[in-house]
Amino acid sequence: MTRPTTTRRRPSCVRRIGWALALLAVLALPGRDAAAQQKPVVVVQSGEAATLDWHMHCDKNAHEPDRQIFDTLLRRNLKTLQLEGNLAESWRLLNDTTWQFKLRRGVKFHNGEPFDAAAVKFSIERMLNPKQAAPGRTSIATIDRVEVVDPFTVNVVTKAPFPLLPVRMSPGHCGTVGIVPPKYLAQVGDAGFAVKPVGTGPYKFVEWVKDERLVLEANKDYHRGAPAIDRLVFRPVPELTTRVAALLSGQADLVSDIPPDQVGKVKASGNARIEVSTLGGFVIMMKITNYLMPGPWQDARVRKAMNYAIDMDTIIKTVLEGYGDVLGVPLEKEAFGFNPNIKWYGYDPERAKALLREAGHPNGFEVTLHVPNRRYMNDIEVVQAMAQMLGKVGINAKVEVGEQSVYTTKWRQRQLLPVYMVAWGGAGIFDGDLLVNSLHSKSALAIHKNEALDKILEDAQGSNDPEKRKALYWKAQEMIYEDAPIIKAYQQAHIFGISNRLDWTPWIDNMLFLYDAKLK
Amino acid sequence: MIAYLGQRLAWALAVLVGISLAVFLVVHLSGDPTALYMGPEGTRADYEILRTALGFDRPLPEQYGHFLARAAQGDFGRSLRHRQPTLPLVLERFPATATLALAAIVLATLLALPLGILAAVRRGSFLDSGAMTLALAGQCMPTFWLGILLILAFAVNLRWMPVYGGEGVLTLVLPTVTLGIWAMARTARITRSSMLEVLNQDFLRTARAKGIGEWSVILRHALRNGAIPIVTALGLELGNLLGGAVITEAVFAYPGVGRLAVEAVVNKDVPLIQAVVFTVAAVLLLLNITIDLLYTALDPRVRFSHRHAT
Amino acid sequence: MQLDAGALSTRIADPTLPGQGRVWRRSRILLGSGGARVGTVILLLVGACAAAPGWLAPADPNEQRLLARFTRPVSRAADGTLAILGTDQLGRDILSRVVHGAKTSALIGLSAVLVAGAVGTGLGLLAGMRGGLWDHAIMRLADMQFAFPFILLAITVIGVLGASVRNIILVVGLSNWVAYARVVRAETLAIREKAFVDAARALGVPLGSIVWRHVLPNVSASLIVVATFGVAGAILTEAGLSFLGLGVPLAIPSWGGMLAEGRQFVDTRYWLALFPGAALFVTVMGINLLGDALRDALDPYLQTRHARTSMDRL
Repeated sequence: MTRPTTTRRRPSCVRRIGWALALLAVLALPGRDAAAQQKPVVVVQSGEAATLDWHMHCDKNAHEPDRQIFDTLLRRNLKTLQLEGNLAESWRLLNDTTWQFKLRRGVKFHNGEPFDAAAVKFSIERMLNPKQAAPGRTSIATIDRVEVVDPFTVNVVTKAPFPLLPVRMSPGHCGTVGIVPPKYLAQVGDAGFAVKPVGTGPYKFVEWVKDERLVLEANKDYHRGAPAIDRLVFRPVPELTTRVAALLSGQADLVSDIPPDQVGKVKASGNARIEVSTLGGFVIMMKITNYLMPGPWQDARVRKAMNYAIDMDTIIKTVLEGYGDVLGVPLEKEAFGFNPNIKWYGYDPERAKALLREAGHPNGFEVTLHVPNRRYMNDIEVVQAMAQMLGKVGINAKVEVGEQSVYTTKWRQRQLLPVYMVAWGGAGIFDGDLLVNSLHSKSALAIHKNEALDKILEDAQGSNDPEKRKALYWKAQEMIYEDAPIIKAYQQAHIFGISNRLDWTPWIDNMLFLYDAKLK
Repeated sequence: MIAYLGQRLAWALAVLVGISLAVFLVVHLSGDPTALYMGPEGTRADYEILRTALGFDRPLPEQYGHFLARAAQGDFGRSLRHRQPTLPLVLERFPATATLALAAIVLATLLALPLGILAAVRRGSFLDSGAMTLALAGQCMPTFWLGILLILAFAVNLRWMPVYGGEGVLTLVLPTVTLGIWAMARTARITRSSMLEVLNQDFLRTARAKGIGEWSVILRHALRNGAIPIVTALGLELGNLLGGAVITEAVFAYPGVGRLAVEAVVNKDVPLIQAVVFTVAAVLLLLNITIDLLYTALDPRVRFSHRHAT
Repeated sequence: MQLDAGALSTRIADPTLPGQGRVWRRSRILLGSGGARVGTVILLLVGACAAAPGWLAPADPNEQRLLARFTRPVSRAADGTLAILGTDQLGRDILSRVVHGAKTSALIGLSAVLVAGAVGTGLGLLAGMRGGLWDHAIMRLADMQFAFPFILLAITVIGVLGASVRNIILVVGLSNWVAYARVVRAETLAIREKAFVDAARALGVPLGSIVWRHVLPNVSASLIVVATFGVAGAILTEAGLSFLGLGVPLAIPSWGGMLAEGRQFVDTRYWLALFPGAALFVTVMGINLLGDALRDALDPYLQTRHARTSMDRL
């Protein structure tokens, strides 16, 4: 890992041999340099970050570089899947509504600013401030205030018991708190911070040429030791075919979300390999409303029939080429509170027809299935296949594909009725709390109402007692099974294309943590 | 001349205001963008808080008035997604778009003129049908297809060219070829038909009778007279390209205005959409005026008074 | 280099040929050229596919056979059926989709051009005849249209109204009227200045009827050129919209949609995109061949005298 500056000197030999050879030497230098200096590791993304300010986006393409630049108080141990200390050395619950974090000493932000309790207080309060309009605010809105006890001790006081607080202090999606430097932010302002972020993470920001490249370099003073890779370059490449081409031609080292039909090509190339992460992963499901739109689907028997009608195993085997898992309830198997006893409705078209007859729809009915345009792996094909299977039991299903902004807007306004596809989970939350967001009737994602279920989920959210929470989530999953508010949840595997020179294994779904990455 | 220019520029400004109003209405037709800027766990109450913070709770005329007042001072507001002033975001990408557009037009001209002229001069020959089939092929090929094929051939298999990017001259080659062939197709056809019309005219017969060599007749006299449709066609193509070659930029991950525009629209980033459309529209209007001025240089019979309205 | 001043005026003042003989002569010119014959055959074939896809296609274009995905052309699918042009990622029969796609693509191509042509011709006539404020307003509208990025219009309108064949036709049609309007307007303006128009008006012939009789025949050649570009352009625009995810709904097979969906298989399963691509190419070629011949036939001066067409006003 020699630094580039050390290799650039050959003046004595230059002087002796004369200018012609000097020219040759100069021409030769880039080659020597390349040998001594690592070629940067190029991560190709599907799109570009709009802002690198951790608090201000909910964007996978921004999380990827941000997880290298910033750090969180806690992190997830990959083997045990338990949370462990990171910027905080330890944490504990003082009383039902107060969490205390003891911070690591001697950590500095990339600009030299010290990391301390004030930075933690500032970071949490910044996200909480309604004027800041941070998209992840809701996820931590139970926090009431942050108290600095001493420079390396903070108390986070919540309005009610908030069992998920430690998870919100570990890396995840936009509802998690990345630690930002207060002095630097005051100096450069929000707009400055968005394009030139400073954190405590393993890589430092170097430069960002919009729509072209974002360059990071190793933070030699990282509190867990310097990372092995000198330079990381993130490149936004919107077209999938081009991303794969970049990997095959040796221009890229890491490409995430490779569709199954490209796997063979990557494997055959000899330049790159395929790695799959099955831990975590989005929970993808079709949600059915039971109250927002009148129709047969308001009857639980009809919803069960729709479940019986779909042969999810075949869909996963063919459309996803095996890169997925059928789930029961819409929860990751690794999540806290997952109930392994529930076996979801299998594939049984006769049973489906019988249920439809019983519910008074022997001739079926018409239904619209909404699907986003290329948000999840082969999403459109999955829903098209579902539609045809529904057709086999007499349900005439129409597939409607929504372009991104339209889909998201309609989804937020609960207009994707009566059935729509959505994914939830992933991002290493691993908690039954995910059920709240997907099925509590007040949640933005839910189009189903079951007051008894709402109550149980609220009780679980309001308790710090793990045993009680677990029991409540088990009960909740039984109710979900009876009520069938979704059609067959499944998980998609995350497929990465990795160049042969890069030594890295993905872990949780498609979150990138490149601290462990090495060159071979 | 000055008065004419002044008048044209004044009208261009009026057109720009009209466009900004159209953009504003079209974007707001589908509801305000608040929902897109919320975390997935946001509640109804958060929605209202965010809506107020972003200013979308104000009545539409007030929002538009506010926009116009600031735009008059050159401030197009902050991008909702980038959280940056919008105009610089557009302007920093414009040189890349302009470079690619010009390179493609130059290539298109270099291909189209010889093809078109040859086809016209040897009308009905094998050369003619060959050239026109080539032009047709360019016209039938969706740019995303041509682009992907070029990448697979020259970047993945032969490794002569980089797959994507914006640094270095080499990265410009494949996108230029993709767009150049596309623009060439139409221009070659127009060159041919326009040359055909000029070639049989009396003054050319006169020129030939005077003993001027055939190629000299074609290049010096015929081309000059047939130039207006060709310039018009090239101008249109350049206009299309300056608007951002959305698909080609996406295929080659080229850092231009088109990608920014699509991203802005997809995310309903209203201030950014306004800034992109404004910049592109202003450039296109200026281009239009320039082309009209070019006409007068090419054909003195074109008077300002007649031309100005077209 | 001066163009003789008579060229334009002769052309315009020249009375149109008597109806009967004109039609005969034109169809002779039209069918006399080999290109036109090839073009006619191609378009008849596409027309047949578009008119009765159900008869010509071997299978339901939307019937998925998940176990027979990616069957190669001219080979038996896993379930034993023969797929002449292979099957796609959902096991749908590609030949059937290409045949049914003809309907969508022909509909989009022709209708978009009709919309653009009708709006453009109407506005061009209005601008040319009324002049003054009307002219000014319409031409400013044209400027706006010209300077308004198409993609923004497309994505927003389709986003708001939903992706349907009708909406794509409207978006593509309404964003392409300017070329037609300019051609028609320029010709109308030119005619208004002619002496014979004054004479005709003095005799009580309404301006509208003069313009109708003299402008449209004169611009038809140029309009046809614009329109042949337009049909091909509209079909390709639909392909581009599909690439961006804004194409016609999935249940309706279209060549553009198939091309866009097949792009990631270009080097591994070529047949997904090759056949719709070939269909598109052949169709566009047919349109162009016929368009060229039609223009030659319609232009009354092409055989005798080469006047400047109005292409310069595009």
